[in-house]
Amino acid sequence: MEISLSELADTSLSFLVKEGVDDAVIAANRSLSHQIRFSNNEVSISKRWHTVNLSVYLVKEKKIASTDLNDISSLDRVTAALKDLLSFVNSMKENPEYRGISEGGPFDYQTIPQTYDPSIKDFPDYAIDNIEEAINAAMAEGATSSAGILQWLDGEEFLKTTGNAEVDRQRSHFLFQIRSFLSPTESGQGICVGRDLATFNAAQAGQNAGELARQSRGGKAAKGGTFNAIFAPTVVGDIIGSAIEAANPFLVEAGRSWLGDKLGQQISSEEFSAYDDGTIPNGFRSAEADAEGVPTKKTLLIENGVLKGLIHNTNTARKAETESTGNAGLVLPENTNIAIDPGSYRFDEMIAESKSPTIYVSNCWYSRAASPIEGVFSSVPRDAMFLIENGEIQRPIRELRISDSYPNVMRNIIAIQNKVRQVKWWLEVITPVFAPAIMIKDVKFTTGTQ
Amino acid sequence: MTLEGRDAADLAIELAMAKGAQFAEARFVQGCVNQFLLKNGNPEIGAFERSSGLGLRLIVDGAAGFASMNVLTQKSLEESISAALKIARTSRSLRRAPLQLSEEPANTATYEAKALDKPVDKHPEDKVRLLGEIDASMATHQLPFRFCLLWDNDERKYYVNSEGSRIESYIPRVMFFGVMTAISSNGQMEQSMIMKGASGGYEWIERWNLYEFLTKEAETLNKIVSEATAPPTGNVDFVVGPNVAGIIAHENCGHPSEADRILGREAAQAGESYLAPDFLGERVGNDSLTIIDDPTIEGSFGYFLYDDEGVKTRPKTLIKEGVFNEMIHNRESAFIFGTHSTAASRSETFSREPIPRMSNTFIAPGELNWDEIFEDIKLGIYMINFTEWNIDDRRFQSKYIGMECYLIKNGELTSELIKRPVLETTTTDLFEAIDGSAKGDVEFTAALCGKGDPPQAVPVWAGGSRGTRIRNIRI
Repeated sequence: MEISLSELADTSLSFLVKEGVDDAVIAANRSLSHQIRFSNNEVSISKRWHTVNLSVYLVKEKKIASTDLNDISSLDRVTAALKDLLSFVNSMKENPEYRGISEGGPFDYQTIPQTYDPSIKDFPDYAIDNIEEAINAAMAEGATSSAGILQWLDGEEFLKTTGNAEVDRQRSHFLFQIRSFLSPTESGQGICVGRDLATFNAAQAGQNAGELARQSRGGKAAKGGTFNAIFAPTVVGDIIGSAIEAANPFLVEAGRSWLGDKLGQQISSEEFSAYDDGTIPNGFRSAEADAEGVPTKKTLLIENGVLKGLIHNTNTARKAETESTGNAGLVLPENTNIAIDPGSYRFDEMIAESKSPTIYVSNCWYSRAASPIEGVFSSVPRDAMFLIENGEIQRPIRELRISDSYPNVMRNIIAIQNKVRQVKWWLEVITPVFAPAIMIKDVKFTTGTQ
Repeated sequence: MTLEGRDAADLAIELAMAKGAQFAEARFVQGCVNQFLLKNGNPEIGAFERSSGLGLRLIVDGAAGFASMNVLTQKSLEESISAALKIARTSRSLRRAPLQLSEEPANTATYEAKALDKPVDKHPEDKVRLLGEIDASMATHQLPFRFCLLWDNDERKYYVNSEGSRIESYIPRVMFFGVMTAISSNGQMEQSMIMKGASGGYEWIERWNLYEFLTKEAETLNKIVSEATAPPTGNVDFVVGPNVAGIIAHENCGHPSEADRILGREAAQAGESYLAPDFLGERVGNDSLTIIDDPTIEGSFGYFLYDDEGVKTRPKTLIKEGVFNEMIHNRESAFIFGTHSTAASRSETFSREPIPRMSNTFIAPGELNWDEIFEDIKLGIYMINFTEWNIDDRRFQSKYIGMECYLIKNGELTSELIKRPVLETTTTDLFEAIDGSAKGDVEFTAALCGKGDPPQAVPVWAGGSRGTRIRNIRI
C-alpha cells in the first residue's frame, strides 16, 4: 500500500524536530506527467513519468542542508535517509547570514482559481487529437512541417514546516509549443500555456505558428544597425522577463543583477510597470503558498519605471528588514509569474506608428549576458522577423542578433500593447511572463554575416 | 514488494515483450549527488540527492513510448508498461513510417571510470573544507563578488534491451563551478565563469591545480578591468586558446552534426542544422580544420564506453580536413540514414529519453610552432577565453565575446589587454578562416550541454590546442 503524502511529511517532520533541528521544510510530491514530442508532422515519441519524491530542507545551528529523496518505498528507508541528512548537516559550516524561515503559520490560504483541473486525468485519451488539429491548422496557413511538444501534469503536494505552515494542494498544468516551417529559414512559433484545460487551444497556436511561417517567406539577411523594435510577447518574456528577474536579492549579493543599487530609482520608461504575482488564475506558477508555506501574493516590482521592490523569502526579507513576498525558494527567492501591466496600444497601432525603420521580432533564443551586473546581453531572433517602415510591414528579414543592454532596452520603451498573454517555453522563458508586445526605440542589432 | 533495480530492469523487458512490444530497453540508474555552495565565502547550502529509478523505452506497432518510474514494484512496472504501450499505440495514427532502429551487435560489458579518491568515500566535512580553501584562493585578489559550487556524483547504471545487450557501468564525476566579478575604481566590470569537470574522483582538484589557477584568474580579472583597452576595428586575425576553440568545436560543429537536428526532430527546441542530410562529404571549412568527438578519453567529463542504447563507442571525426565526415547518431537516426549508430545516444538520467549527444569535442591540433602562429599577423587578437556567446538555432550565426584577450601586433603577441572583442561570424566563414593550429596536446574545458525536451544537461569536454588561428574577421 502506498504511503500517503501527509503521513510521509508528518512522520519526517516529527523525526527531525525530535532530533533537534531548528528549521525544517518537508514537501512530499506525487505526480503523473506526460509529454508527446512531434516533428516533421508526426509523433517522435510519447512519454510518461510517474514520480513520488520527498524534498527536505533543514537548518541546525545555522548549518543548512537539503535533500531530494525518491526512494520512499517505506518509512524505514525515509528515516535512514533523514539520519544521513542529519549527519550531513553536521558537516556543514555555519552560515552567519542565515535568518530563518517563516514562523507565522498556520496560514489561511486563499483559493486561487484555475490551478487544478480534474479533467487533466482524462487528457491522455485525446491529447493526440489536439496535436493533429494544431499541425493541420499550421498546414492550412501554408506550413509544410511542424515540430513541438504537448506536455501535461497531474500532481499533488503536501508541505509542512517547523513554522506551522501546512499546505495540501493539487495542481495541473499543460504546455504546448509548436514551431512550423515552410523551409529551414522560414518559420514561426505558437505556444499555449496554462493550468485549466478550458483555456487550452492547440489549433490556435498551430495557426499562429503557420501564419508567421508563411509571412516569413522569402526573408533575406539584413544589415545590422540601430533601429526601433517591436518585441512580441515571447521576446518580452525572454529579454524583459530576464531583466525583471534580476530584482532578486540573492542575485544582487552574488553580483549577478543589474538592479543591485537601483531601488527607488527610475530604471525604465514611465509607461512600464511590472509585478511578481503568484495569485493569477491559470498562471503556470500560481500557488497558494511558496516553498516555505508563506501565502503568495501580488508584489509590485516596477511602478511607472521606478524600481519599487525585490522578491523575498523570509531569510532575505529579514536581512533587508522587510517582509517576505511569498517567493521562497529555500536557497534563493524565486519568481512565481511575472506580470507586466498592459499599455494603451493596439498591436496594429504600434505598427502604424512605426514610420522610421523598425524591426518586429516574433521570437528569440539563446539570450546570454556578457555582464549580468551591467545588464549587457545579446539574444538571437529566430522564426519570423520583419522590417516595418512608413507604418507598414515591408518585408521579412533574418540573420540579425540583438546586442544591447537591459538599462537601454528598459529606458527606451515607448509603447506597450493593451493586452497580455502568458508566455513560457522550453529553456528560453522558464519563468512564466504575462507579457504584452512592447515597442522600444534605438535597439542595437548586429549580424555575423561578413 | 520493492524490486531491486537490476531485477526490475530485467523484468520490465520481459513484461514489455510479453505485452506485445517489438523492442524494449530499460535503464536502471542510481545517482548519488552531493553539492556545496558558497556565496562570497558564506556556506549557502549543502545538498545531497539519492535518486534511483527505471527508464523504459519501447517500440510497438512502429511507434515509440517512454516511461519512467521511481517506485519499483511489479504493480508499478506493469502499470507503466501498459501505459507506455498505450500512449505509443495511440500515437501511431500520427506517424507515417514505422519507427525502426539500426541493427547493432548485442553487447555485454561491465566497466568503470578510474577514480583514486571516489566521491562516495570522501566525507562531506572534507568536501566543505576543500571548497572553503578553493574559495579562499579566489578571495586573494579583492573581488566584490564570488560564487562557487562543488558537485560530485557517483552514478551506477544497468542497461538491458530485448536484443540481448547488458551493460553495467560505474562513472563517478566531480565538478567545480565558480563566478568571480571584478570592478575597477572607475566602474569597469568583468565577470569570469570557470568550470572544471572530469570523470573520476577528488584527485582532479590537484590535477587542475585549482588553487593556483583561481588565484591567477582573479589577478587577471582585476587587470582586465583596470587595463584593457577598446579592441581595434576593421578586419583582424584571431588566435584563440583551447577554451574558445572548444566552444567553437562544440557549438559550430558538434551540434549541427547531430543527426536528429539534421532530421528536424529537435526543431522546436534546440533547433535544426545548417548541414543538410546530403552534406556528408561536402567541404565546410579550410583543409586545416579537423574536429573530433571522442567519448573514450579516460578521465574526461564526457566519458562513456557504451552509449545509452548499449552500442560500443569510438572517436568520431566530424570534420576531416575541412570536409563534413561523420554525423552524431543514435540508432533511430542511423536507421533513417541507412547507416550504423555512432554510439552517441545519451540521457541525463533514468527519466529522460536517450538522444544523440556530444561527448568530448575538440579541434585537432595542427603542425604550427607557437611562434609560427603569430609571425605573419600584422594586427590581431589572442583570445584566451570568452564571456558571452550565442548562436542561432541552425548553428550558423555565432558570436563569442572575449574576456582575457591580448593584442597581436607585427607578428608579436603583446601584453596589451583588449576589452571584450567580438568574434561574430557565420560558421562557414569561420571554418574557412581557420588556417592552422598549434602542435601539441589538446587542452579541455568542462561544460554541461543542454538539449532535448524536457531539457537534458549532459557532461562534456570541449577543447583545442594552445592556439588556433582564424584569419581576417571583421570586428
